[in-house]
Amino acid sequence: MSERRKGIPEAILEQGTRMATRAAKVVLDDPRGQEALAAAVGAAQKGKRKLEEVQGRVLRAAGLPNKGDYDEVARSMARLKRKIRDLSKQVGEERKR
Amino acid sequence: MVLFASEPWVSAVVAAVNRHPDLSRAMAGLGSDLAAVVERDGRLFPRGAAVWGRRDGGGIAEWRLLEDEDDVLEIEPAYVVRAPYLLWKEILLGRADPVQAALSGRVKVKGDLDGLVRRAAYRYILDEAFRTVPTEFPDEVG
Repeated sequence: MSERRKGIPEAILEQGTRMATRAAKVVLDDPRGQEALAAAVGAAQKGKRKLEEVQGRVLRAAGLPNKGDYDEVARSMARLKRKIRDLSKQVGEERKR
Repeated sequence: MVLFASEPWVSAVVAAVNRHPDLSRAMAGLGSDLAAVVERDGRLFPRGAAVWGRRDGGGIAEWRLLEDEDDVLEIEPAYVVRAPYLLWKEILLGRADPVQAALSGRVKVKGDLDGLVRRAAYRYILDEAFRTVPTEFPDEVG
């Protein structure tokens, strides 16, 4: 019974995915469709960036860290991690001598 | 057979891509560099992999395998393309479409996705390059 309940949404999802994939293929195979899709994606990305900017300003005004702050911390951590790795290598080479 | 995501494998793929006559047309107007990240898979690909490449003069001018995928955060390339190991495998085997995977969010793209969508028609360059490199996948190695 539960198998049956689980099966129907899965079948619908599978069918939907197949149809969406076919539709995307038709759009992507046509240069005009490709351009329209690219424009839509570009607009969506621009909108998301704008939203993040506004969110960032609101969070900053509230004295809270925003996405940019987290990104900066992640960059610093990555830099630090790489420097530690480089130093470890140098120490290893010195020890070999 | 060349092991997927190893230095010889990336080198062979880059050489094959660079040999393609349509490459400069496909790359025109794109950002200067790209990183591709193969996310770790605990069972099938536990070490993960990341590669960075820079284009110049209509081809891939330089590339390197990154020791740590977090190096991407420091490099900040124009594009970061990130997907799980099994999805990369499906793409390489021609069973999944990279553009559709990016649009559906299964492949995560950081950077201007519209530029990549506009170049979807050039996908054959990568397909042909992958076909010329006999790839051995880590989960199939005995």
